[in-house]
Amino acid sequence: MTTGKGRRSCARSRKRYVRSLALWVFLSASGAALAQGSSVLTGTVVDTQTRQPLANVVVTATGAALQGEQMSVTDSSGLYRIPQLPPGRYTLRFDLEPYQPLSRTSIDVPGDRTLRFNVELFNKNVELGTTIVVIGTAPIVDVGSSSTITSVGQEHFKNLPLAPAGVNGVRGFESMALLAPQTQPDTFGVSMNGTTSPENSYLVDGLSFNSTARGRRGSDFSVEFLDELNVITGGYLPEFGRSTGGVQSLTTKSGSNEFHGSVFGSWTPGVLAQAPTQVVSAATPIRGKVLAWNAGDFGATLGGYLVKDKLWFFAGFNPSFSRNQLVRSINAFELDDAGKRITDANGNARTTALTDATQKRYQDGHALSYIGKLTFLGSDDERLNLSVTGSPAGGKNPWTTAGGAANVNGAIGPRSSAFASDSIDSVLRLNSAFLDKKLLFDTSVGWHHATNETRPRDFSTNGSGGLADVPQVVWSLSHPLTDFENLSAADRALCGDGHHSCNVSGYRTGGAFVNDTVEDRFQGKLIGTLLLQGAGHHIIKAGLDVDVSTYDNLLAGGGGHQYVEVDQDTLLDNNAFGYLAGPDQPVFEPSFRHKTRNVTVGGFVQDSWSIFDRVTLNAGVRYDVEKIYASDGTLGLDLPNEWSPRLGLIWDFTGNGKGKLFANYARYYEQVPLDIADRALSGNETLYAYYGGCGDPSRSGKPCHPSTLLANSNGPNTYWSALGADREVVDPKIVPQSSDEVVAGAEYQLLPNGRAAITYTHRRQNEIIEDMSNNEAATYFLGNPGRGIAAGFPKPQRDYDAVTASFTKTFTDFWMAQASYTWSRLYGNWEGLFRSEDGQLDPNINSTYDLAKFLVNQTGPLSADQTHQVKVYVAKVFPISSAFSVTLGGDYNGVSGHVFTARGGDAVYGANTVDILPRGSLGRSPFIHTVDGHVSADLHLSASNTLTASADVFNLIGSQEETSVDQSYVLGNTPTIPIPNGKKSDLKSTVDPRTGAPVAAKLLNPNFLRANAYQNPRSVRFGVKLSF
Amino acid sequence: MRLLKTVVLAAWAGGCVGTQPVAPCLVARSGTPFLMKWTMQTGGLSSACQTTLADFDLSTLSAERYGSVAGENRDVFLRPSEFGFKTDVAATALAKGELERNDVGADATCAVDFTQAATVSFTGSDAGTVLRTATYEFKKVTSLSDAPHGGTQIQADLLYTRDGCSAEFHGLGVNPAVGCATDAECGSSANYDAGRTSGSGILPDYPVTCVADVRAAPFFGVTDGTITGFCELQGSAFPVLKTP
Repeated sequence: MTTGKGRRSCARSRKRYVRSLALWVFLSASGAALAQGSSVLTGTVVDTQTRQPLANVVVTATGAALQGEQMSVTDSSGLYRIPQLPPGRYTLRFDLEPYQPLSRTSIDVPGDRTLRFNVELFNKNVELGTTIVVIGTAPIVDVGSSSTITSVGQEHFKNLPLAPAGVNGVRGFESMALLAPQTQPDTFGVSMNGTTSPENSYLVDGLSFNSTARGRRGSDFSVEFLDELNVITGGYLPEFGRSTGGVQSLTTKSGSNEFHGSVFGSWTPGVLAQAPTQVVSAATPIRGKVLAWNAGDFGATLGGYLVKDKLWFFAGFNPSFSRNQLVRSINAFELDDAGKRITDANGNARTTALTDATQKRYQDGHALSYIGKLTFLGSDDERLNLSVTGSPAGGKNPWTTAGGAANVNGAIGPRSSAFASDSIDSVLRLNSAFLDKKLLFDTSVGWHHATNETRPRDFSTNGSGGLADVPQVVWSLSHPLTDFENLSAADRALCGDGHHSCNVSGYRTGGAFVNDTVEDRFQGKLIGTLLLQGAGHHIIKAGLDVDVSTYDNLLAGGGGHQYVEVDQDTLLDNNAFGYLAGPDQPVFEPSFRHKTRNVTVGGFVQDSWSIFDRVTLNAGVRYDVEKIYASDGTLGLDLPNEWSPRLGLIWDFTGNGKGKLFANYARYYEQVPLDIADRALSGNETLYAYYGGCGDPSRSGKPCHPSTLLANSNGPNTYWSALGADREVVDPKIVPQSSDEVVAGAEYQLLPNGRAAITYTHRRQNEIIEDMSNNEAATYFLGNPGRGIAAGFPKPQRDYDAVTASFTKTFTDFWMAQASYTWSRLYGNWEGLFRSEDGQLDPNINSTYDLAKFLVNQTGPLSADQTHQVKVYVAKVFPISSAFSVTLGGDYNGVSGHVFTARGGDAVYGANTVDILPRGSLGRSPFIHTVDGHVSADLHLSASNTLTASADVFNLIGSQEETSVDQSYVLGNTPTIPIPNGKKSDLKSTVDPRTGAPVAAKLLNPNFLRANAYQNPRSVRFGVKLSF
Repeated sequence: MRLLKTVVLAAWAGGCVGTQPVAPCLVARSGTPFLMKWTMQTGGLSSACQTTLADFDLSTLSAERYGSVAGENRDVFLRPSEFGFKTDVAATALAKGELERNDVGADATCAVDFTQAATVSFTGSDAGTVLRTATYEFKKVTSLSDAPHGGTQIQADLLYTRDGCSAEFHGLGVNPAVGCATDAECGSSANYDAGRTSGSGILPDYPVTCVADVRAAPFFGVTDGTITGFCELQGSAFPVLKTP
């Protein structure tokens, strides 16, 4: 209900909004500009003799990244400030008559930093001479920010073993984010500060490329196109928002007044790859193994000018490919005379390999990454950038793969897929300055576009007569493999000799499914920066931020049906697209398609207030409102009032930019991805029914005949039931999902270009949004667990505490280093936007909170809780001669293990939904060590031409520790009753609620706690690059 | 232009209060029936008819709203069933109605007006022998259909006719129909300590208690004594909710 006071408040805020909007429209229409960089060089200039501040000193920054120069003039307090610098290496020059000009070269400025460089000028009357080049220490401590940032730039790319070839052979950027302390890989990317990777904000040239559907990274970028990756793990200011994780901000390369470019290639030959450890499952005789075969890429980049000092360009292309061999083999379990499996001394089932059943197929992927970028300098105060990047890709997966193992339990039809994808990110940015650069405007508009078509291996879609039109069957019961596969006579004889078992369950036959998606994100951002003096120096920023995202999701295939064998000769059609028009009147749809969208509008204001040149107070607030629309265009979820206060305090205790103490508080809000609109707010219309004596629809290629329907209900329908036929309702008092963070620490410049830091981080989850059911899955609603109509559900908990000690040495004097140790604790009952148990990535509608009973035993160390983490990256260049040098680089990553528990099934939700024992009851996986190495040789052909040959070895020591184990205590969907506060010794008394007795031995998972994934095996990558 | 309009409206309206969408009108779609408690409204009934209709105090009623999410279909069908008899699955045993509106009203309810009565032939274990025939002429059914309740409680006004006797009844129904032996078994939450792996499915703000009834055990097909009654709503004024 809106009160009279509330209405007046609304009216005022609307007036303010109208004024803001009018200003924005005016500025946009009048050509106000977009910023290129976000870093600041600042400091004071004093007279050497008098120690008095010098006003009107002209300070000029020049550098390759700047395309020209940036100037500033010191004020009456001697302070200068050069804002909006893109990351790069700069020279600062100070001029004031009658003082001797002074310049400082090689000042490395990463993105999003404020660096202080104080200087003293000599009066010419005292000491005459030419320009003096200061050899002193360049500033490296960011004294203007309490953010925790790690920058990964060209020197890292060149000298460290980074970015192994990923999917489609692309040397992508995201693995490089792991250089930052308090980051670790998760299923969908890089997790920061205990959050899940889809909570991150991914930015390229300032605008988002998060997947509109599920929040994860929505594009990939070749490292060859990147100038810098900034990894902001915490403490960020209001200008960054819509993220409860961290920020990965990419800056693409730009052209300059000199022509530079490269021709490059890399190759990862499978012949030098270590054979992976075979994952052996005691649950099935079918094994799969993924062998690296070949991966590589090549390409070229070129940057320069079209009109000198006016118009620059950068362009590049980078085709890539990858091929793995997937080996599928059958290993019959050996049986004793009683028909029981024979095990060896270690308890492993003894098997005999079938001689003629091994299949080898190739998994192929390819991509073509490209970039085009133009930079136009309208005047000293106006700069325009247009960048377009993209990466069309495609490939085939014979059998799907998960965790390095092939998912081969089925015929190739339903277990394989082909895909084609594309992504385009375009950003138009204009930055302009007014009032002697005291008033700056940055305006950006951008478009992120991503398509993905996942199809059956014949790339068919529904209605085309291919695999997409063939029903799929999951044969849940145990069947002889010979029911499905044509084995040789010898193998058939072995399987049927009574001393071997080749039985399989969960085997799939028939066709496969289609999932075509299109995601678009249209963005506009305007940031105004005002430099003011008043009780110190202020950098006041205010901004508007608009995002309209869409998600078009098409599901089809399987002939519109997926059947699951539920009993002998009984099939459940549990995935028929359609709805009921009346009692037992199914209307089948060939596909399921939703087009959903959200609109997020926000703004922020912040002040970076430098007090007495020693203390900086960063204070601000961000406001966002997100509206999510269902596929019929109606409003589905309204999330206003996302007020995000941020407060940071930095004390430069050295007074010269060499050290700081800092603390920061921030509240972060999630931007809810559109999967929730697709699956929950638009309905999820499917039908299910049971059939008896239908036969094998995957073999006949036709759905079960209606005459074989089994009566299943005494309701208005006798045969058919509708599932997901209604939109989920929303708690009228739902609030947005948010978290709070406190960061505190100290940083000090220990060496020239080397700084040490210690930080403490605390993050706490506030409210979350989830879908829940109060009546045993009969109806669902969206709400906040623990409040409102979900008051009966446990409050969400995700507490993260971490202490990190780190040392960073930037690349100078031929070496660089980055080392960190992190102790952390991640505890609670909610992991984030995906479930690690089964990889379910349905942000805000994962099944964890569906029923309150699933929360029993969920509280404990979360799956990403890894107490100790050590990261060391080092590289050194050895100049052999003026024309030849050798670089050695390497890294060590050590991380303690994940927690284990025992999981069981639920009658409705199936496998792995019940934690039988509390999280972490069964110990942890082993400490994982990984060592990577890099060697390269640089032949300097001329001053600007270098030929580089390199070799990278990933997992140099070939460590093959287990990274995941099978935590299913029981087979399949076997229901179990959790044991609150139970211990490992209680496990054997786990009760099957159907019998009220301990779970029968035949239903226990023989693979329980056995490894189901190992570290990536050793691989070697060769590279060659001509830089000019 | 449409995009700009959307953006402006989002910022304008969203800046003040969050307005969540109105819940759609539902009459439980869970596949399990309502347990209906009936109260005769007709006075002056002959003693013979009073005797005839005396057992119509409790029954089950299955309900479903039809149509696609995007469509305008507001059809609701009800299938009545009575204890001790097999359910008549014939199409004529369905009552047909239509929701008065698509989304829930300000009073958190949705009303269904009926156009087709259900004529139900009840048989026993011998499916061929009709033991009784009843006509259900629903006047109006109202469901509690706001976000927390989703159509899981209804009230119904009914003209019930059997064996030449007709009377008007008022009914209160809770979904799902649950068998019990103790009040705790009517609880909405699982209680693993008590060996209950699932909740009753009855929403936590419905006041229900376990009322002994010999019809429960055969209805649920449980003869081991673990079910002795039904979880029944305690109250008479719709909607029946626990006092906060």
